Amino acid sequence: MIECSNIYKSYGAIPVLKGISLTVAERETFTIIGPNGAGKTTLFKVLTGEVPANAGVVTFNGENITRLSASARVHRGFGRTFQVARILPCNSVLENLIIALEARARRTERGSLLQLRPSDRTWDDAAEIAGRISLLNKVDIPARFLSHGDRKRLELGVTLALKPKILMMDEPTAGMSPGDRNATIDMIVRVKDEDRLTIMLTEHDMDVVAHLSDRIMVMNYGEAIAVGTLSDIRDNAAVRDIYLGEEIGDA
Amino acid sequence: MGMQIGFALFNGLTVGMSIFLVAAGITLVFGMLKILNIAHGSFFMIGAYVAYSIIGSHPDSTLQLVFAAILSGFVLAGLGLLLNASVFQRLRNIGEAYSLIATFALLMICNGATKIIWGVNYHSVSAPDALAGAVIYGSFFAPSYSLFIIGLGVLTFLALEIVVHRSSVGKIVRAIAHDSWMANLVGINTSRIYALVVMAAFFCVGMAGGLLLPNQSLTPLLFESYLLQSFMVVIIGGLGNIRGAFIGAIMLGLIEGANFLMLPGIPGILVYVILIGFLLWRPQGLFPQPGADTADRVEGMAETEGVPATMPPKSLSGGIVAAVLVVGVLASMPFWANAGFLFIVGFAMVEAVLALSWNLLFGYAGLTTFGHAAFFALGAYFVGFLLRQDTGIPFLALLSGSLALGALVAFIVGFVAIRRTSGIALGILTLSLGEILRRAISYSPALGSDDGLSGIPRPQIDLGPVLVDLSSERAYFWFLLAACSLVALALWSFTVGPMGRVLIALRQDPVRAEFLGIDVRRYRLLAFVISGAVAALAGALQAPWAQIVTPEAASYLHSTQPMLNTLLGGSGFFWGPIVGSAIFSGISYATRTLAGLSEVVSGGILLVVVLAAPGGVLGLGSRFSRTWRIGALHKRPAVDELARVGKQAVGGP
Ligand SMILES: Nc1ncnc2c1ncn2[C@@H]1O[C@H](COP(=O)(O)OP(=O)(O)OP(=O)(O)O)[C@@H](O)[C@H]1O
Ligand SMILES: [Mg+2]
Repeated sequence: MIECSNIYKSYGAIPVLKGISLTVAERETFTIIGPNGAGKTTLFKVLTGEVPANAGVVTFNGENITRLSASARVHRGFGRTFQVARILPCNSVLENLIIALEARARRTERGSLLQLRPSDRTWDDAAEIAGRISLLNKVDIPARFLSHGDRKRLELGVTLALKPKILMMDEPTAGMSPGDRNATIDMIVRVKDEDRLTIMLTEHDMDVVAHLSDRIMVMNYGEAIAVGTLSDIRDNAAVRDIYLGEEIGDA
Repeated sequence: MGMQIGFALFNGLTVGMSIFLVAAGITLVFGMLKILNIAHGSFFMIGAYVAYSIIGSHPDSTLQLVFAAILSGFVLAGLGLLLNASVFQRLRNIGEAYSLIATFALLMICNGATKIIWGVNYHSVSAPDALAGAVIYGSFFAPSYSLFIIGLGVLTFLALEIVVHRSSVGKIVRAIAHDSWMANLVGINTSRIYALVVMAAFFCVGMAGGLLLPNQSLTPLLFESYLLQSFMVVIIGGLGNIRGAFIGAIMLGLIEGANFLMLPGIPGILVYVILIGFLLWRPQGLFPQPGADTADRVEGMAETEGVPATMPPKSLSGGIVAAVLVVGVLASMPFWANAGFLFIVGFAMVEAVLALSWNLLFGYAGLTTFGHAAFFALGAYFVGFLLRQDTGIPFLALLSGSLALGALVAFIVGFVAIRRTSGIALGILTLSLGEILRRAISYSPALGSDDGLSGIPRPQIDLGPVLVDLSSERAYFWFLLAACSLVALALWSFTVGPMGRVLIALRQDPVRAEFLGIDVRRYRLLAFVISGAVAALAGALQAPWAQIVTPEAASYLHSTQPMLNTLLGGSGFFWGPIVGSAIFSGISYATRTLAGLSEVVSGGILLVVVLAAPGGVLGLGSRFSRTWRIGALHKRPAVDELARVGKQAVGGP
């Protein structure tokens, strides 16, 4: 489904990605883990077109998309959520969803410029998504007043409104309480199934990783250390070194 | 010829050093506080006036001049301390555009106060005898005063360079400029250092005012003379870098010299052309400072009082009643208002349309431009010129032509500018384009040069069976009212429809918008084109009303008018700019008798609005009703932000 080879990226003189290659199959959940600063977010940025890579090729369903802008990639079926949720802070939950729905509708159907209000179907769809992300009771609240977990959920809802084929989630459970975290895991499993999604995510929480992932890639200092299923990764000596090292560092 | 080149070079160097003396302060403030202090030129002017009050028109000796300059430096440092506590400190927590406007409010207050204190008359100061002569070396001849300025410029540079890069205070200053959060964390008293830097900057600019006194004619327009150059130096140097500013100032001076040699007919234009090229080539400056340009910062936006409505209200009846009332009162004015007042109201309506078009960029597309008056002038000159030619082209066709002209120019400018620049660089780029247009017009005899086009006839509109004659004041007023109302209505429908929602999304968070599949650049360009077209239309409507257009229509002072109107009324409301225009026009009508007072009052109000109620007048109103509705909810998501900041600061590899 999505494939990249030999991606290099540096910020100024500092290399952040040093030749990353990966392939994600359709309907797979592919998780990238690694210590802080490993380059996970940067890899996401390159794959989704937020920043250009210095070298390397990204293909999506066989098409070379390396040079496409982020919005053009969204048109091809990318959905992206961020480590710190990006939503429209001054708009209400419902407006956030409507703006996303309209952004998608504009590409697929001809709307009339004279119709100022969103169509009835848009309203209904927005309410339906609000239900799916359990924010139906907060639809009129401006997004900036939402709690951290609600913002993350809203961002997921906004992304789902685009009907993506692949969902790229950067730390979907960062900063959540254990209760919120479990609810999010369930929600991701559910939407993956309902919307027949392919998912890529980065995550620090091992519980989440274990619950969701089909395959896992471990990154460190901009390099891919290992790729495989959870048990492959557990048995990998290099990975052990990194994580044991980090745990000692954290203590 | 060689002689001439040498002389131009030397002159250029003198100009460059003068610019540096003035720009050193603005650079310091920017490097530290990340505030582009637009009022800097006014503080320079106040420094000059203070020094003038001390020494009068004929300083006895060089020492006396220097002494007066230092004294005026201290006076300004005191003023700086005051302003730091009352204004600058608060500006650190608000968005970039707002802090720009706040310093513009300071500019208005300073200029008005200068007029009130020192009057509007012209003074000139002669150089002390010791500096009045020249140094002659072979065939080369250099005025002593120029040598004095060059020496002082180099001295100031070296002093700042040593303090910033070699002293322990400088080390702390640089640490804070780099990362004030960390500096605070390790226990540096940042606010005291900020105060110190502001005082140093004000001292520099006050001293420059005194030292450069013999070079100037002292009038309340002096603030302009180094203002734009100072900005350019800050931009070229890389936003807050003293070394960059020094090099930038020399470059500017030399460009001025080259302009003098190559284009003596249009002084000062080359600088702008080169600046634009430079901005497109290197928008981050020669020595980019980390974290200097804040174009991509989105937090500032969340601090504002929300965004304009994204959808038409459920019930239109209230709005219709209000609109009918306002339009009705305005339409009745020719029957009861006196001619002078009617004239002001007509202007206010046009300014309101201009402000609405500017807010389409600022409040909707998230672009801050400083050259909007250029589009206005395009439309005004286009219609004014053709009406005077008596071409027989129908008036409505002329208006459509001005729309098309504005759209075309906006497309060309926007296509390049939006691709290459953002944030402050975009602001300065548009400012420069406006200034180029103003200069080009004021040196075009066909367009009446500095005097502009006067005696523009008011047109007739041929509607087939009826011929509408607009030549009377009254008739044109009604036409103006109808046209402005229609434009406002059209813009309003645009903003509450699907396009408005797209713009509001990308204003709040361009990255999120891009990941909604919105091509941010394309929609910004669309907003730019519409905004330019409407601004040109506003100019076109105004030309027959005022019956005169001057190059001032394109000046940056006029460009700031829509910003002030918008901010005062509330950029987060579609109707904000109209409310602001009404209030500003009222103020300037009420205070028209005393020179300077209207600037002080308008500037003062604007400053209070920006500092205390960034949502403008309408924002205040809606805040009251909102606190009343959901009193318990508070904004400021600072707590969970902090965790992220902390993680980045501590947990990085
Ligand atoms: N815009 C930038 N400019 C310069 N350096 C950057 C930039 N963005 C990231 N970096 C650096 O690149 C490296 C990788 O950052 P990245 O955000 O990709 O890591 P990450 O694996 O997502 O970390 P985390 O787990 O903390 O989210 C870090 O060392 C970071 O400091
Ligand atoms: Mg990350």
